[in-house]
Amino acid sequence: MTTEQNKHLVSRRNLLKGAGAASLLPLLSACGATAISNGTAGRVVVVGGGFGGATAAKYIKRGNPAIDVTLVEPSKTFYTCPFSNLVLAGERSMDTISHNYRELEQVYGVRVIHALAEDVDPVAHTLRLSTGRTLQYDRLVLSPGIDFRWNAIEGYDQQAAELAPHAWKAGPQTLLLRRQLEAMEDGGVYIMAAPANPFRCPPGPYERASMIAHYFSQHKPRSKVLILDAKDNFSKQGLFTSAWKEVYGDRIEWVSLSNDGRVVQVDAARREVVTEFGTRHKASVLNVIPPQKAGFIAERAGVTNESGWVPVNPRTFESERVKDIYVVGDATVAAPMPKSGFAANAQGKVAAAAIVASLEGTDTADPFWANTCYSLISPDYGISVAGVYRLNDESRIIETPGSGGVSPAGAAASFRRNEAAYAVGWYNAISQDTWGTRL
Amino acid sequence: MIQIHTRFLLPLAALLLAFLISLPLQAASWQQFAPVQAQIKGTPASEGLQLELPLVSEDGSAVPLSVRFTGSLAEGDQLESIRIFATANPNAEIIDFIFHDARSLADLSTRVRLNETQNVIALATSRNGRQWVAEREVRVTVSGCLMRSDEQADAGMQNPRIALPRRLQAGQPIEIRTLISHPMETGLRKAADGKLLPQNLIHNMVLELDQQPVFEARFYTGTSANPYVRLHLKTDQNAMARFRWTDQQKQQLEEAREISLR
Repeated sequence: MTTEQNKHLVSRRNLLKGAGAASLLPLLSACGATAISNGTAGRVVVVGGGFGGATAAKYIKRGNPAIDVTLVEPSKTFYTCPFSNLVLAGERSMDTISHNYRELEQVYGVRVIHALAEDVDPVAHTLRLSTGRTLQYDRLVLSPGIDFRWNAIEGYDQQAAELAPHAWKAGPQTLLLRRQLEAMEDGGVYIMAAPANPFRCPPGPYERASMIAHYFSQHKPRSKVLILDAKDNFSKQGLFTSAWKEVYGDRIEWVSLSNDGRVVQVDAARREVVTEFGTRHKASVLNVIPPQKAGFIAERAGVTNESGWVPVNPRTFESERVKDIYVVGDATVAAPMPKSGFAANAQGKVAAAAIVASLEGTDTADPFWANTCYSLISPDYGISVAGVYRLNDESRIIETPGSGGVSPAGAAASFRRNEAAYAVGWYNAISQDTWGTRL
Repeated sequence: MIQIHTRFLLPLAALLLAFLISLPLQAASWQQFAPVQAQIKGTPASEGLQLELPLVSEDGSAVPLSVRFTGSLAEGDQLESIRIFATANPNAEIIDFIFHDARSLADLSTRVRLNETQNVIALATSRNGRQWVAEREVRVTVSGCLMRSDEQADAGMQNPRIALPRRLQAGQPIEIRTLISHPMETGLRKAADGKLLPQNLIHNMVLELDQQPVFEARFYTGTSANPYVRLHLKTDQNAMARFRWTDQQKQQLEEAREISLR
């Protein structure tokens, strides 16, 4: 069969799937058209105040201040995963990675409700909160982040995470891992179990290993870092491995999937793990980053597919499955865009523009997105990967050919120092753009 | 009358035309894919073979694949092979699983290379010539061609690994995982000097129970580096299990494990 036929086959099948979903929910289209209340430009509810959700709420208001926007987020303070690895290394305090919703409320007129979103009724267009309250929406934005697949690794559940932290959502887990690293005797081994793709922040585990090696080199010089990985390749691998050699010698050891790196069993109380082919490792500090899926509310809303993630129309980031629900950030299937804070911020803007246009009955321009992931090897050694993304003729997201790339190999120390400074600049800029935090 | 006829005929003809055009498009791609067609005699069943792959893979060099036979076989018939094909790789063959005897079960996992977004096809054949087919589309966002440059293309087989469950029960499926280090160089990749790196593949892995071949996996360019096979056995007798890998140069590596049932 020719590629041309293949293309038809694919688009046709998607079309049929879409038709099936629509017929299951016959009321949706009718509601969408009539539910906009008189007197306002429409009601939007945003769930999740991270990079994706806070950005979407702000940019909807910027696009049309008459739209009624409510943000639902349980915490009054949001801690970012970016730069939380610096907290683990003792290089930053939690204060410096904390953000709040005052600018959204006071400058942009977003109503902020601190509650947990519990359920969605896509037919009635309502969202139920943990407080018992129900919110009506014309358009719903979900930016739910990730949830963990507890017990996907035998013995690793929520209780185990209190002994062997994941620290893959910033907050109390970050502090727990930090305390364990501080309490560790010199000469100990920090073991990280890194997950298979897809997962939040592809270079994150390797930056974490670097920052903990940095902490050890300053305070616990006889201690080691061991990464047990469920992958054979990882983001910026060449740059990481050569930098590890250069900066930390043999302190960091990486065991790939093909060298029996995949952890299949965890004994959190004993801080022991067993890999696929039966190797047992004992840690002084054990950090398990488990397999992940879209945040819980996405499942409740019926927007996830069999992979556990959310397929979206990349032009608008509206769910492929449920009308009037837009999903942004780590929960979505947006590859080759990574699950990063920067990508979530860019997607939040695309969804905001699409929602403003749809409430006004107009069309949006073709979207594009940019992403940069900086990673720190040490506080003055930075590396990066950047990309610009757009839609191809089949409306799929592709990396714009010739855009972006990774930091050069073998660059001078001054180059690495500059990239570490750019990383801080990036963090300050995106924090200001998303939450209005001035650092 | 004539007016009525034409008024209805025209849309009818359009509908018929649309229907005819849509027919080949609705057909699964295995029906147009020559390497699979060459293996098919008659009409394979579309139910009974479960093929699992991720919908989206961010690393085409090692995409997890599972295949399981859930169909029913006639009395005295048994499954002979399950072959896996890629529709848009440079070579169609990914991996073959061959069941030399009924103690090996058709419940397998491996890791495969996918060059780009494409359909993957599984074809099961029984000794009596019955066939089953399954097909899945996988979106690949990073090509399987982008292999790491630090892999040694001409390395031989190393570190064979076998994992058996701690307790083995008679008559219950026993999950066995196997892994061996090897670059599985395709012969399609260029070195830094622009010359093609010579092909260097493991040919197969054979499992024998007390010298009797029970199961075989045949590897191709579509099999990931460091071939991984997860298989299942069902037996009611203790036996010595020998796993033997043979590469294209006829070099062999062997690992043995005792199967002792409770």
